[in-house]
Amino acid sequence: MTQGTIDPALVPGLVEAFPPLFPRAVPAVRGVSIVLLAAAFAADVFSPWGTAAVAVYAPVALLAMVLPWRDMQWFALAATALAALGLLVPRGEAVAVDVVQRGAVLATLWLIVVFSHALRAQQTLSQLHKRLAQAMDVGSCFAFDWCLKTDRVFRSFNAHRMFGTEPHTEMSGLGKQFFNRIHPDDLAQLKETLDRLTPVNNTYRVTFRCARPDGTYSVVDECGEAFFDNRGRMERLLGMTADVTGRYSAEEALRQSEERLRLAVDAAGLGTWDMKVATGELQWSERQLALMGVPPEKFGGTRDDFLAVIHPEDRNRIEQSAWRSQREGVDFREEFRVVWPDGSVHWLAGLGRAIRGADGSVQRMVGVNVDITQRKEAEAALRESEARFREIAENIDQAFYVYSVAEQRRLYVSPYFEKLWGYPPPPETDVAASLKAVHPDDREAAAEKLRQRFSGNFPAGDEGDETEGRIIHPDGSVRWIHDRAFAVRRPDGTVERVVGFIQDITALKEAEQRTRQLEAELAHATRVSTLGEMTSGLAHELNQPLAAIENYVTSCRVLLQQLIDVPGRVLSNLDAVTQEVQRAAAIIRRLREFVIRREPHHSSVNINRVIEEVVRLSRSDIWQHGAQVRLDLAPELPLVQGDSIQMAQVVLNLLRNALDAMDEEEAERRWVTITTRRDESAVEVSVQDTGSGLTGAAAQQLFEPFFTTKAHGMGLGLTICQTLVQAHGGRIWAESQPSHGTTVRFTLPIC
Amino acid sequence: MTEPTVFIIDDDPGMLQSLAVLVQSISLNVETYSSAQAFLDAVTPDRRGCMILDLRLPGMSGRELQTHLQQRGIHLPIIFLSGHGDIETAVAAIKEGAIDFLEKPCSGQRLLDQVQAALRLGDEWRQRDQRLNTVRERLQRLSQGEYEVLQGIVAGKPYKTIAKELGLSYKTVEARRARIVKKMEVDSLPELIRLVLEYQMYEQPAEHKV
Repeated sequence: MTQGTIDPALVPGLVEAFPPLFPRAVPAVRGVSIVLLAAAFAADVFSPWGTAAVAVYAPVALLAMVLPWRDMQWFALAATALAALGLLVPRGEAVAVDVVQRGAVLATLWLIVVFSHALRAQQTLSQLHKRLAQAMDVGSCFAFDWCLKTDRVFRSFNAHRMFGTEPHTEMSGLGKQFFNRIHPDDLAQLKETLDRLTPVNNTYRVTFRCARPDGTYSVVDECGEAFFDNRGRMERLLGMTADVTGRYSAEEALRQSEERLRLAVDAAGLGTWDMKVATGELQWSERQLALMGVPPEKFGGTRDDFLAVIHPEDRNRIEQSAWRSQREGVDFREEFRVVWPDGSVHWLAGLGRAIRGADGSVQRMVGVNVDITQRKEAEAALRESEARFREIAENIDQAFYVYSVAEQRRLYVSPYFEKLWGYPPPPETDVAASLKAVHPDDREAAAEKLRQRFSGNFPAGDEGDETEGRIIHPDGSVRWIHDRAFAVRRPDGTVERVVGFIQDITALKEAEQRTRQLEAELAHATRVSTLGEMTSGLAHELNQPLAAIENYVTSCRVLLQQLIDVPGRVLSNLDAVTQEVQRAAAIIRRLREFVIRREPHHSSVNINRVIEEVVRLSRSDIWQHGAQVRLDLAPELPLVQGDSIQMAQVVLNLLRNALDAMDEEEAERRWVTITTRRDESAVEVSVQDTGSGLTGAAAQQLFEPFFTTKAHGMGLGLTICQTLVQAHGGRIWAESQPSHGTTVRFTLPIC
Repeated sequence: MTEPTVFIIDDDPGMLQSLAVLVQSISLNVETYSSAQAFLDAVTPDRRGCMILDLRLPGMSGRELQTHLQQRGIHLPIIFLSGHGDIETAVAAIKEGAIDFLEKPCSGQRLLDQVQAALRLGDEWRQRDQRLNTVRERLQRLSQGEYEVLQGIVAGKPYKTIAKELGLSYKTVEARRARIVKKMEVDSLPELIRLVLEYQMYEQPAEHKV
């Protein structure tokens, strides 16, 4: 605390600082004054004027007034000395008169000097005061002097400016009134400070808020010194009060900033530490203690306290790292685990910095620690999640891909892609390569989809975009794939990524196809069954009138025979009617036999025998068509499992078709060739005719129900054949070329 | 004794009519019925003749009618007609006593032949039934003891054996035999045996009532 008084040694300097009235004239005046002083002494000694000569000293003194203070002193002394010396000169008058005269002159001279000095002092003080006031103004402070006995207080005149008050009104007067202006929160502190003053410890410095007339507060810094009487009672208080509102705000800001830092440190859960390298002495903040799980009372304040809590697996690494930081002065930056007394493990991140001393060696290490357990757990969870994702992505039977629209590249493709395609995914830019594998029929659609995917062009708000298509695997198999892609959007709605799954749906597609086929077969079977029932009913209905006709004809014949003379033609006509009725009945019976549903009777069948039998039974048909049948049956053909009657139906049907197909041909060209041969797992039967063959369209429709090339056919023969062959696990197909006849082949699996 | 009649049962009027005409052409009596039930309601056990029966009839089928007739002891030979051949039904029907099973449309001549055959068969059955009835009546006259002896005779056992088995004296058996021959109104023992065997063949061995 500095002394409140002004050092007296400073005062001459301050006085000197004031220049004489005419500084440039000083040397001239000094010279003139010396000459005048010498002239006055000469006049005094040698002039006849006697004592009156003393008067000449007076102008010298007056002239000296413009000289600086020291010169003036010297001149005054010199004049006095010379005047005293003049006494020694014998004169005519009485010495007493001379002394009085000289005394009067010298007194006048000294009066002038003293007056001049006072004037100068006054001037200097005034200037000093002015400067002081200016300085105080600049420093926003005022001085005060408070007499506690009278409670009168004097404040320097700029006090009122500082507080915006009228001079010598509110701010002067009783000192205790000033307390009213002090902020209530600070008053106690001020009073306490003043109460603590003692004769030994008599200075103080205090900061408080002081009200302005407008109600705002100024923050002031007051330094003061107390004076005590001999009984130890404070009698005076002297000091200076400075308005530090601006500075205080800065300090407040700094303090707040520190506070904020502290808050931030607290909020961030940062524990701080400080270690002296030389001693290993360690300081931990409260938070640090909490982070380390060390109760404050157990903390010994050494490096070992730190190492003790570190997880054994991390301890060595951290110790090494800490040593290196100390030795090399590099930052300490580590993540490690600590074990709390309860056994729980916590992850901490530590950052330490070396503080070097004047000699450049590391003196201290300071740093912070933060709990990163959650982050570590999150990281672990993320790793686990990612591992799980990868596991899923790499093991599901779907190719999973992530494509970045912005980067125009694939971020991820699961290994299944390669499995599905048969080769690794081509570069995303190479659309042609991507399309190469796509089935030609689907290529155009796929190209469009690829463009959409790569450009992130997804309809807004969609759930996802699906597409199906076929790809050709390098092994030649065609696979159906299903691609379902989703857009991952940024907040503004633009597509950032495309995520998709590609699935092999070949089996599904095949199942679908099979289902469709089954449905068709069912529909077909239903038609056939309906037809069967219809035919069955029809046969019955037709048989009734046929039977009636037969009955009538027979009764006619019987009645006619009872007559004597019946022309033979009449009887033969009646016989013809009977024959026709039987023919019609046979047709109906055959029709029914083809479509009637009955349980197949399975047994091992020699297909060659079946064929031979059918041909034998059809001899009359073959003969009627004027055709020849050639059998080319493989010997020792394995038996097939099935219903021999149904097989016979198939062969018979094919034979009839072949015969019908050749009616237009010349008689010698009507050949039916029935061939059997053994396949790996089946017996193949083919029935070949030499008819005109079929057009492509007809060949395709051949097996469709109610399709016929015959003028009077029903279009069911081959349909029934197909049903029967398929029921036996075989297949049937036709090969035909226009003008080269038709070959229908069917297979039956070997049992 | 009424004239033999051909009973024709078919639900198809045209068929029924044509059959009637056909059968009438050989001067036979005909009765037509359009359902099995109608015939069943009208027929009595004393009717002679044969039946032409359609297998497929609305309501009671031909086979069912056949069963009903048997239960009621009406033994008319049946010629079954069927719209379509059904071997199993045909076999079953013939086992039950149908004489033929013809598939429509069948030859009219064949049908007439079968009708005549059936009528003959019907007569035979009728005569046989009469014989059986006579035998049954006469058997009723026998006492228990006489019946037991008769059984032994029919089985071809010597009198001694019969006597021994029944615990009778030879003379008693002899006496009973004489009474049996008298009661059964036969001239000789072989005739007696033939009658009884025929009876046993067609009739269930009914419990003899004294």
